[in-house]
Amino acid sequence: MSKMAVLYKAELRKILSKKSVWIALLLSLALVLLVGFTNFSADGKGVYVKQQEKTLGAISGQKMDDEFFEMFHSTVQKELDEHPDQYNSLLEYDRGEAYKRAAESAGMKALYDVIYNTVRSKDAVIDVTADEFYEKMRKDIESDGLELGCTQEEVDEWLQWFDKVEKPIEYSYALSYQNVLDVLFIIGWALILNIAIALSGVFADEKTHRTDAMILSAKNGRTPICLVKIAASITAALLQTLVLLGSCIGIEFLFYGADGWNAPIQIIIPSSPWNITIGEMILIYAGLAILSSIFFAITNMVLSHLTKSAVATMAIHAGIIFAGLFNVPSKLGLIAKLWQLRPSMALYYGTFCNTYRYGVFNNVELTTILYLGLSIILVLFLVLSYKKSQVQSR
Amino acid sequence: MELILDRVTKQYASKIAVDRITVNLKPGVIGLLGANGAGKTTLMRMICGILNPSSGTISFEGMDASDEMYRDALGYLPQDFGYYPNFTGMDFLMYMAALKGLDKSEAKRKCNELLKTVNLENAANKKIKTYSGGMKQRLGIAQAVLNDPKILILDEPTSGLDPKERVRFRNLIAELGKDAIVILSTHIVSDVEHIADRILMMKEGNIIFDGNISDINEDLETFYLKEFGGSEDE
Repeated sequence: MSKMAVLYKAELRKILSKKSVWIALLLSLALVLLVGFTNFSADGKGVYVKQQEKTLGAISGQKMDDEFFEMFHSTVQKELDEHPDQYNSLLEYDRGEAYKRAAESAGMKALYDVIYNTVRSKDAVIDVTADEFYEKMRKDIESDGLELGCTQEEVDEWLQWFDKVEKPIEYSYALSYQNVLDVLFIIGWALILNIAIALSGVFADEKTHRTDAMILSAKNGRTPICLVKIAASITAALLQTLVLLGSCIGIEFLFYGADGWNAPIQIIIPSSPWNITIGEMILIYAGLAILSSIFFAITNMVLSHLTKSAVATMAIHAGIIFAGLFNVPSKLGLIAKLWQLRPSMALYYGTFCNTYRYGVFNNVELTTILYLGLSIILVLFLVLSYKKSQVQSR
Repeated sequence: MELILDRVTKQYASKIAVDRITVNLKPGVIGLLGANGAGKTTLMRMICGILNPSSGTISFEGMDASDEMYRDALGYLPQDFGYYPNFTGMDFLMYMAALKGLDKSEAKRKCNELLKTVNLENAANKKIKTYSGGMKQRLGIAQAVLNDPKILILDEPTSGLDPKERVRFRNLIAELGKDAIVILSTHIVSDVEHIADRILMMKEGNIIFDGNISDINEDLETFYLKEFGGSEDE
């Protein structure tokens, strides 16, 4: 066991001793923190945020019923009435915009956004009732499903789930989690890049360093070292994931607090039929981030072993990143659905509600099954293939 | 204790690098001489189990070259010895010792002993990237003998060594050859003429001479040059 510990430490050291790994991680970290700070800064340099925390924190936990909507409308109306000089001219030509600005000033921007994201019209926010709010949610679930190319049966299944969500839903000031989920998408991209930089040389560098012959001719130079390399690579990938995920959650908590863990996810994704809390969704996505990073790590190792070139491995990943920029139209059916499972989209929570064929699998479940299955197959392939490695002429 | 090569052949698309070589090797120092491109490195890689022969077999005490236990009996210094620039000499040897299956405490003891033997004691904790060519080569030799191999394959081991180090190294090889099969590949005749118990000469993938130095009635270098048509580079 001590031999394996020595090998594991050495392999981890080989990966983490590269300057490029730390430079890429620091740049990604800076990006995550910058996005977090930019969001905060865009929210009126935090003035509105602090006001919101106070106003919306006070109504967190209340049911979003008619009484709640009346309270919202009356608070905004009060703001409009108390500051006519600020809003009167705007009210004349864009009532919805005036209402939005008044909601912001009243410290209710996050609540306004929840309502707006559901009714999808500034004018509709002005006098929306609880019944209209939930009816619109239901209609959007149906139209979004059909737009995604789901069958009517699939959409009906979604609606049945949505009907099981307890209504009126409970409001919670959950801005930090919403931002975390937004930034997760960026983290997904950063992880592909960071893991590729860190692990593209795991097997290829042995050829570059001309150490492959010595390793392969040693007693533990076949299956044991391959398993150790896999373990060290996964550790490095997980370290990167946890650093990025932790810093993202940390900065959002710092700016927006930690409220909203137990709120229903409709606060964040109005057109979701799922009956789960935001906290559960965060845990699901944290798990998915971990699984994705393991999958990316294994993919890198396989490419590194097959190509015997860190540059070629990086080039293939650059291609994957580039291809990930394109969308496949939903009218292409199965291809479009599979394309949504690509690495760059794995942590995009906007597809969380996408559920397919008779509700058997949703995007997260499909991604989990696909990444887990492929990871196992690729590890088996890697171990068997590495065991037969040869050193050809250089 | 016998290393058996039975009709070992390595054929690439249009070239036969090693052509049906059959030899039985017993403990002692075996000098493998041949010009560049004669097939020495290919043969050594096959003996090390890192290159599959196109045909033929290599076995040692009933174990095939692809067996884990065969590799356990093997020590190998490749011609182009590689290393990790950011590892210290000690780190590198500990890593290689773990690869060779040595326990940590045994590995530590063995590494210290070998660093002393190859005169790298004072540089043990310095990064390998700061080592001279000769120091790197000595480190390579140390890693090859970490597991007290029964089969020791040394491919051009003296390149980069100064004359004093060469002598020191020859003595070490002669010592190791008492208990192990040491195959020392070189194209420098003087590397093997004083220590080799047996000489194998390779040309174009074939063994053109297999015998003891005493079988040769003239100076080895002269004999070698004669066999290779007067020039080592042919």
